[in-house]
Amino acid sequence: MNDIRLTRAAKTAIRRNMKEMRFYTLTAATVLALAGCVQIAAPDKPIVINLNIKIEQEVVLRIEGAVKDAIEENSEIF
Amino acid sequence: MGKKWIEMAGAAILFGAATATAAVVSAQSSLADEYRSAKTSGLVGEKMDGYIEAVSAPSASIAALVSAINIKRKDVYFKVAQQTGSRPDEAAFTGGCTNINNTKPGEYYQTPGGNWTQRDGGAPQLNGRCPQ
Repeated sequence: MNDIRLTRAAKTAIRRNMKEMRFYTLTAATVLALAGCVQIAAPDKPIVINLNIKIEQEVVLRIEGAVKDAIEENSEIF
Repeated sequence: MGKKWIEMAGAAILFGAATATAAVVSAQSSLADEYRSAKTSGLVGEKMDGYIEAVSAPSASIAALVSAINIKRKDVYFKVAQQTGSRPDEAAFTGGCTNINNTKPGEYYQTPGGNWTQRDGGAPQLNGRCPQ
């Protein structure tokens, strides 16, 4: 009786473990699949261009005042 | 006699310097005047890159005027770039935004599409990177 109970307990434990394993495998597979998708789908070119525009805009905003001053000081050629 | 000679030489040098300065000033003002009239008559326009260009096929004198103005502008942009730790083309581009903003109705400027447009009463069409 005790033995049977133990066996049953072992079975349940194994079943539980299997469930967990299945869950992890599924998760891992999903993550791998997603990682694969991102790698395939990510076009790096537009991202690079956007970054450049942002940097230039930051520079433009930063130096705008100095440029305006210089233009005013040299108004005969602007 | 010796002292007088020195005085006269000094006066002559001063006079020469004054004449030279006057000549430089008048050369500068004539370039500025030429530029003003070329601008208001629509012969030259403001580009997005901070420099001017002839709107249509230029005469020799307009071509010379355009390059004379642009050389001086380049100098100004280079100095600002040095002061601000930016690139000369960035300073020139920023200048282009200001220059196009400063055009008066009737004057020509380059649109973001690269075409010449006459400035009207409203706001000019500026490049997306210009401060809005």
